[in-house]
Amino acid sequence: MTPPTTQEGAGASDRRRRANLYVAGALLGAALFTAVEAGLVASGHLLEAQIADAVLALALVNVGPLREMKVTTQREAAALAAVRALALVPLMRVVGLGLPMREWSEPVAALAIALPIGLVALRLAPGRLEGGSLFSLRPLRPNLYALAAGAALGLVAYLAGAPALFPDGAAGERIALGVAVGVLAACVEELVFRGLVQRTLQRAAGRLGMLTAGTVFAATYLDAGSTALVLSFALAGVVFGHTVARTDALGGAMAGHVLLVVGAGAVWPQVLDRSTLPDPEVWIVLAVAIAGAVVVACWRPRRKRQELEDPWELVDLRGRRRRLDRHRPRAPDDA
Amino acid sequence: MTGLLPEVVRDTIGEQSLYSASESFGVVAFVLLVVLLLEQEALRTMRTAPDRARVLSALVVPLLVAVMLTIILRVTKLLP
Repeated sequence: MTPPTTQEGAGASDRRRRANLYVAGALLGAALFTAVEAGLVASGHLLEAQIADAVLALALVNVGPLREMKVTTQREAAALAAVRALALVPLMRVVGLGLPMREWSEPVAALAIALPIGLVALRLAPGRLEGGSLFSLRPLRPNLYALAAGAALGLVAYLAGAPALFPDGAAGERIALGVAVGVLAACVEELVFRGLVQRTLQRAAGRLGMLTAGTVFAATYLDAGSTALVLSFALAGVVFGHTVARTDALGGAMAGHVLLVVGAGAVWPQVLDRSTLPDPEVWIVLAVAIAGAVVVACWRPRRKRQELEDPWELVDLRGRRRRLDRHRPRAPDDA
Repeated sequence: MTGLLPEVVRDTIGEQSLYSASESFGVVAFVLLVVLLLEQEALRTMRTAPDRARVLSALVVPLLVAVMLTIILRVTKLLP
């Protein structure tokens, strides 16, 4: 093999620099969106926020060379995809504010934004939905942790002041509509923040991408009013993000998020009355500690290198390990 | 509650009439839609950035829904 020439070396360095620049652009875009949510949306300056989000979306979608044939490395392409995927998040705010929802009920307004945004996220999400693999619940164990975390955080969110999905004394149809739209909104949020933003950012920036996606997700709840509620959604973002990073599928995170929303907005309000609880802060701390323990349980160190280098174990592209013992030659003393 | 549509957004739009909301928030959505559509058309003609064109064609869909709904509601208000 011939050693690379000086020109080839300079080209590789240029490509690395460009990829790093795109990753920095994605992180900056996420930081700017978070700043707009914290500084403008949460304080009620919505027109300014919408203009800032429109400019941000336009800037993010236009990052990259005009001639895409110049994109030559996988990392560069992944970084560009991450920046452009992030454009959907500020665009979501522009669309939400642009909808004429004055005379619509709350579920109809949520439905009007969730459906088109969900369809876009499905179209742009990396990894095709072959056999529903994106929604798979396998491997089961990390997905079960996500479900447990969702159920625990549903209680935390209710105690922290999450509003109900339907008004008191609502009829059966109104309850069903409220719950159905809550479930749909939870699934769309998972598609956008974990299926699209996290998966693209993670391909470009690794674990930092996962944390950035979690931050952007938490930023969309900054106007919730109660710090405990924002923190509980931030924790949910970390847990579900970690589950998706481990399983490369959305099934567990979606089911966990649905449990969180339905628990906080429909189940716990029927079971408990938060106004009569003696000291809700203690309950919140307890439940947060439980959810934290779930996160720790989810965290599993990588297997030792010699284990992974076992020649009779195959790690396929989705990270699943398969034993190849049936191909192993038998030793002469094997009975 | 959902991060897709925060309460502050719903309350603000709910407090405004259709005309005042569409003449402020609606205009921003409309301008962004026009810019994205023009850019998409330019990229389609130049054929130099197929990936960006694909992303743009996906992103214009929700904006188009919002703008079309606003226009339809404004037109129906004009009807007797």
